[in-house]
Amino acid sequence: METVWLILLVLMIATYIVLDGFDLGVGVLHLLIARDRSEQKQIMQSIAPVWDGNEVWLIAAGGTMMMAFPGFLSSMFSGFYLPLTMVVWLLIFRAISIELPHYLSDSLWIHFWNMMLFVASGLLIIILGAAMANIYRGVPLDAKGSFFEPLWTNFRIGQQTGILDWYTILSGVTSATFLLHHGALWLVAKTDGRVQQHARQAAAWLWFGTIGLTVIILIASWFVQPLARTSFSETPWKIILPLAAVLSLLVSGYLRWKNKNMPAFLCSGLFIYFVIFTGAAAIYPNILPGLNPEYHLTIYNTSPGPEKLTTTLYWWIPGILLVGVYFTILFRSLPAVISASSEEDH
Amino acid sequence: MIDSLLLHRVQFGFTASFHYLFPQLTMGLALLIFILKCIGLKGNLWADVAARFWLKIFGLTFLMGVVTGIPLEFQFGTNWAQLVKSTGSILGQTLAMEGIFAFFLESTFLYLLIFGEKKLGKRMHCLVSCLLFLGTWLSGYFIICTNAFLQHPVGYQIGEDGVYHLTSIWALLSNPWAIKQYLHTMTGSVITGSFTMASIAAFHLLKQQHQEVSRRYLTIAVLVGFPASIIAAMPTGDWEAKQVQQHQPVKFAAMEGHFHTEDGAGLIILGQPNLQEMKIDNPIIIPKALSFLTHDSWNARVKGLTEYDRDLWPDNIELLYFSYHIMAGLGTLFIALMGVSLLLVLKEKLHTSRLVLWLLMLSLPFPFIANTAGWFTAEIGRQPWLIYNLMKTADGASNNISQGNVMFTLLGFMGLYLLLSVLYFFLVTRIISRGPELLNQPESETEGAA
Repeated sequence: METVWLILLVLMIATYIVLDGFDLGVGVLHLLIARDRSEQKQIMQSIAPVWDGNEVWLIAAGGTMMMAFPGFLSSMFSGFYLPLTMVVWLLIFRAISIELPHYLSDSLWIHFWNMMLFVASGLLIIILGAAMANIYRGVPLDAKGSFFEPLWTNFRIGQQTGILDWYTILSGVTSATFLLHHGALWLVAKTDGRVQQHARQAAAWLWFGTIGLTVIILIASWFVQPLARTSFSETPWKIILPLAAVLSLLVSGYLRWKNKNMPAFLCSGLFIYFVIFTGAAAIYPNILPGLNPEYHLTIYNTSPGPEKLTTTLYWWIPGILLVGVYFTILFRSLPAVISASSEEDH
Repeated sequence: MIDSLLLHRVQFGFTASFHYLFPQLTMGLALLIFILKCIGLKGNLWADVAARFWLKIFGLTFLMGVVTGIPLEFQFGTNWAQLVKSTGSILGQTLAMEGIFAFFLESTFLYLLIFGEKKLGKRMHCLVSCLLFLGTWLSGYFIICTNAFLQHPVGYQIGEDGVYHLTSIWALLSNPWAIKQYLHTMTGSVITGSFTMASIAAFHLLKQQHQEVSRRYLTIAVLVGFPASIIAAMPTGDWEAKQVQQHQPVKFAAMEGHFHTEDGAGLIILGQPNLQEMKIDNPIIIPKALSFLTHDSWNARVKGLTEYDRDLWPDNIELLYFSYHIMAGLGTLFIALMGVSLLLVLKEKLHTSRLVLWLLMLSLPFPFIANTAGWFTAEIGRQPWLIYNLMKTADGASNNISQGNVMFTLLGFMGLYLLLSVLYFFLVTRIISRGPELLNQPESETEGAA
């Protein structure tokens, strides 16, 4: 039962990253692609109606994590106290940067908030990658299952880790590349004209970066976490996950080349799902490895027990089906293609 | 050196109080906007114009509610890790439900509600405003349930390792404490919504702008605000006081400023608690009223604070006492002001009664203060318990975070929220100064030159 909830939780977190990932990616790209105010609005219209719903996945995943693995959430959140508080601040800046321009008319003000959106989105996607890498790499857990990490130490992995070391920074850069690629594909799928053309070029370059960094991060991850080596040698079928990730990425590139824009975007989403599942499978059944192997937090020692988790499924499954309905309505309310000239009419 | 527990508490208290300034307005407005949209369906153009104007304010306020709400969810884990570790599987239920059942609903329809009037058409737009209303009120219920578990825990079992296990999700969701608390809280929120509407309408009427629309929606605000002000006191306030008296007698004695056990205890209206001498200085008392209100008998015995072990007293009795009395005093004022306004509405004189319009306009901050003071009463009165009679607040805080870090984030939140307040006031003032009548087209977004 714990395994079922782990899969559901990873699924929710990955859904958050896939969905909020594209609007964070767009939050960075808009400043680089848009040439004038109408293109700017065209880009923002592709994310303004959906970013809030996408972000709710973070809250829903947090709530699910709290009820399924309270020991994991309490240890991780208090241990990453400073970076998580900063994430909260950045999420605030990101949200108001998207929304306040609706209420403003002065072009300097609007430009200011656009730049804020660029900074906040950019930092968020880097931190997201670094956070994932911290969980994967492991933290200095003590016998009570708690820890506190400094922001950085000597940038090496070892017994005195900081939140930033070469591996987590690499992961931050990787996640930025993945999500910019993902965001660019969203723009390719949802816009037309000059914006689409530039997004397509950006996606092409970012696709090469994504391939390169995928290979690098897979190799690095193999060496960073000894649990991964045991895990993959004991259950070799898990190798399907990273292979599926690479395959999705290649298919995504091919589809974009063939001008099948929406399928290319969806494949990029699939790619992100597989990458995250690869990481989770590599450390399974641990959920937050300790630097000292005795203190690993596992899905068993952080959850309230199987029978409690079973009853929760009775409301959780209908709830998520309902969310599926909401998201169908939400994404259908977006125009199929957003043009720079159609801005008056949405 | 400041105790890091105090900083954890101040940070949560500050961020939660600041946050709740916004949802109390949006939950109240969601109902009022839905009412306006229904009136608009019957062909009343003014109601559509008023709804459009209030949707602008609603959208901005909702955004503030969203961005200040996320830090609260995070703080459970960052600042109250011990609480989550032992009760996460229970508190997480209602928090996850809030996300899945309420937030997804709200986020799906919010943008359509605010920017989609033209596209959706009248009926659909009215329906969407109803869905938003349901979403916001549903989210309120889940969060009250979460709080009710702390106030009056039900449906749990404590394991040998001290971890709490949920025995019944149904018991958690139908916690009798939650139901009464919810009714009282939501009534408070409707008061905030209707007073805010009445206040802005009064402002425009006094300035002699947008009179046609303002006069009409002022009537709606009063027609909703008067019953809400009554219900906040009777029956919901009364229920709330009785359940506190029954389940949390220490909180009750402290908030009433009732130090010594008495037969036929009086109700203290004014006066300052003096903890050195265990009495109220300069009291104005209604004799025997406290006994009557709590036990329906003028001579019943009401237990005083001194009956209880001092370790179980809330640690800030003065603040608790003042909060409760400010809430109750303002509640009385709301009934009086809305009562007078209703009489004038019935005589069709309200829009010309300058004195009452002035009073309505100036009363804008009071419902916000009353709601905040109400939550101060509930939460400070719960101390020293985090989960009533089960877990002390000191045992729930994260124990691996040094006080300097908490001080840093607390100051960061204060600075950031100051910035948010400035932005909110700047933008909301712009919307108000443009007024409803300039918005007589269902526009999509504010255009550059507008």
